Amino acid sequence: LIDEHWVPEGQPIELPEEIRSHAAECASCAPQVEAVHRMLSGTELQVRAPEGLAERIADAVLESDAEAESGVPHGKEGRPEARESPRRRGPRRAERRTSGTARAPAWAKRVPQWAQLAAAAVVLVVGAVVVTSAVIGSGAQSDSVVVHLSLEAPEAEAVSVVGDWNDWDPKAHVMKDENGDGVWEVRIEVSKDREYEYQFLLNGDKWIPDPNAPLHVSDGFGGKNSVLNI
Amino acid sequence: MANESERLQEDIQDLQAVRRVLAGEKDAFRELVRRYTDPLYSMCYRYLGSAEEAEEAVQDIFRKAYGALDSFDPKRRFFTWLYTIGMNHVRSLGRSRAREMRRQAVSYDELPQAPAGDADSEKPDLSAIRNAAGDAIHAALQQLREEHRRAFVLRHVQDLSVQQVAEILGIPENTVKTHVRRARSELREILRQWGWG
Repeated sequence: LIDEHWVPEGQPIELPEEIRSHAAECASCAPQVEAVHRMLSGTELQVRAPEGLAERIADAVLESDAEAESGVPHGKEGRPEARESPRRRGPRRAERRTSGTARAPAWAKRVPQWAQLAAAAVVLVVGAVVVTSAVIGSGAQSDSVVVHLSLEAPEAEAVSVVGDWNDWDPKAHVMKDENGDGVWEVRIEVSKDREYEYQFLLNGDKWIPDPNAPLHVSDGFGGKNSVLNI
Repeated sequence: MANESERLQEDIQDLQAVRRVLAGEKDAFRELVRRYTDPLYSMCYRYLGSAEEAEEAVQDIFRKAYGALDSFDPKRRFFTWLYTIGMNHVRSLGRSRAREMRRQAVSYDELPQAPAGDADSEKPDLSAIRNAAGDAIHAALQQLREEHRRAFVLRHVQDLSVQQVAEILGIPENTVKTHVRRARSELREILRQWGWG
């Protein structure tokens, strides 16, 4: 059945009459035939959301927005309050910065985010050495080391590093920008003599490789994983 | 799935709703949630594998979309923008787990069967057949390689064009075609392993 009726995608298939008539009477074959038919023809694969889900979601999103909104000043001069991004309600990044730390430069608003990241990584130079990751000491175990990872991403609101060592869990190694300079940092402990693939995750949904990692490999999603070789 | 002229009409309605939300009429966001909950749920359910996770994921996706609404470029179609957020979200959720899923072969014995009676000759119940078939499709999709499943789900579950899938996933159209083709080959192999066909 599969080989004979495997058709180009999206085309309806017509199962042989003997199969259809058998499936109409046979309880054990019927689901198989139904499933194969739907998969082969690529039809009827959609599922409907539970009743009322849309309203529950809309209520939840709008309620949490109202809660967030009630905690911040409204009606910023020169910009109608209603046009402010809901995400930026609450303490804004720029407002959280202490005096003496730089705000994002004007050019940053005109340059795509990926280009800012690439440029920012190049700026991250100490002496002549570009620092994005470095082994900074031994770990708690004799076969482990502590690695410092950093990424300059002044526009990001949250950054984590995900990789083989934390099973790609975005909550496992959340990076911090404690001094508000736009450089997000974290220390991780990994085993020696191993190779790890990793990426940075910005704002929970944007995956980027380490711009200065010496080696990258395909991540299987059309992007690149950085490689950390200890 | 809407045809192209219906799609264009929806694009206009989407844009109007976005503008209303940004102008302060926040309840207009409900229109977008109502229009896209079903397709997003379908995508999340097929991708993540459980109704509970899918519900939670859809809510998170709308939350993210709401939070980023003022960054939406009106030159883009709202639904491809929303799907991009959605696919990034489920990708983040499913990434580590997907590896495990691929390794866990589902045997034929574990597959749901239609509870339609003992004898093969007994006439099967149609809704039971459809439920069992749906479960089997679900089990098969979970075994696809993640990148192939993403392309397959968007192309065939969401019924999007190759161009739209490419835009959402940020990959070339030819890569989309390759991933869908490979997904179908994997499905064929999975079905064969189950002894179907």
